[in-house]
Amino acid sequence: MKDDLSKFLPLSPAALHILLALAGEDMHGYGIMQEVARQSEGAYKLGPGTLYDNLQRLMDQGMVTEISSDDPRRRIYRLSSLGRKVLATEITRLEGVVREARLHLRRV
Amino acid sequence: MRWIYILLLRLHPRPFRQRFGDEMLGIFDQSSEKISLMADGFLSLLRQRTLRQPSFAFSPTTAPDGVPLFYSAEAEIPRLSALMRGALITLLAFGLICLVMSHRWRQTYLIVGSHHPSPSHLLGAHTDAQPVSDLPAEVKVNPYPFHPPISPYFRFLLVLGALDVDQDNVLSAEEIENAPAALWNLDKNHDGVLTAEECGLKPDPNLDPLKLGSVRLTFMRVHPVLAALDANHDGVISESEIRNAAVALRTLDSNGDGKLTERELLPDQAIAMAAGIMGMLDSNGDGRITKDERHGSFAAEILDRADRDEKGYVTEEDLVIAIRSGTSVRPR
Repeated sequence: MKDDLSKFLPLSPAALHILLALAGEDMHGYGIMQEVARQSEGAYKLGPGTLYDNLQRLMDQGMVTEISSDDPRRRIYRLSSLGRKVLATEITRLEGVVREARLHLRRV
Repeated sequence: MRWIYILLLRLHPRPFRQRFGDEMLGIFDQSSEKISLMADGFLSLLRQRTLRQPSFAFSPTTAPDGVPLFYSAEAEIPRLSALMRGALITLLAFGLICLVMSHRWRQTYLIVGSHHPSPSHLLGAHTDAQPVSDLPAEVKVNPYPFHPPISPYFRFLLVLGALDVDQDNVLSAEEIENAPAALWNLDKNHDGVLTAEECGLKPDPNLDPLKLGSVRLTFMRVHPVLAALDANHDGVISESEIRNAAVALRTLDSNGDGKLTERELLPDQAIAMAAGIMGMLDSNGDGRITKDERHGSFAAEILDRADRDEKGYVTEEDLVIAIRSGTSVRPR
């Protein structure tokens, strides 16, 4: 299974933030943009073009699914179990990167 | 600004636009950072058009009985408008490349084209630059198309010049087939017949009118192509003979290869020489050269040999035999 997930890694910054935003709750596109801005404290802002381009890829890969909504202009997106596993694996990878970085930076 | 953003959305691939277009426009309407969203939309357009593969809305599946199911991808065939845009862009690009290649650009560092004006050349090079002798690169080109010089015989005989449209000194099957149309062009006075003069004869203007008729007949008889065309040997190629020209010309095709070469068209040298002597000496046009009609020593040896039986006159047939027996001229 680990081998299956490795083909999705590493995630691009936009994909990582989208998955992170959806990890808490289901959201529509504009909500994801706002959540990404909040998580990064305004340092990283997603435009709708970048958002939906990445959402399209994530849905094609099965990491995000679209769920029905009353308003056709506001589709709701949900993190799938695959997306959650990929996100968890990516976070683990990033933790390793951070750990190594701290180790090396301490020597400097 | 909103319409520009809508235009950007419309330029996205249709599946993407149908799926996310309304949401993107909704976000654009809500946002106050229109400029950055515009830039984001432009980048998205570039990504979709260059990096993203078309996503198919289906995937092959296997039926319960194990037989794979196949789907048609008709929905993914490029739209007519997309094909039209592609054709337009291609034409513009081609035109631009041609323009750049065929015009001098400040300094003549590179010329692609030809100085020689010719319909076979796509690009003409407009430059007054002088050719340089020390080109730093080796240029290999195909040899300039070779055109054999027009045969003097084809130039002399106007009929052959008219028939040999591509001027290769050979009458091809197609040129033979189109012979009537080509011959009509020679009928300068539009009287429906081709005279010896219209076929290429240039008689001496001081020639006796009575003799002129004989010269015309000889001219039409000596040249095989004219003899074939003038089927009734009346000295002119009539309207019906022009219409029948293709059939008449094919009778000259001695090797049956469908075309007529100069070798098949040239007159027999002995016959031509005999006709020439006859034309010059037979002053009364009775087809005989008598002793009275001789002019000094002109062709005396041939005439003596032709009159071996001493009958007192020489016919053209006698001359042909004498010429062939006394020279290396052999029948074609």
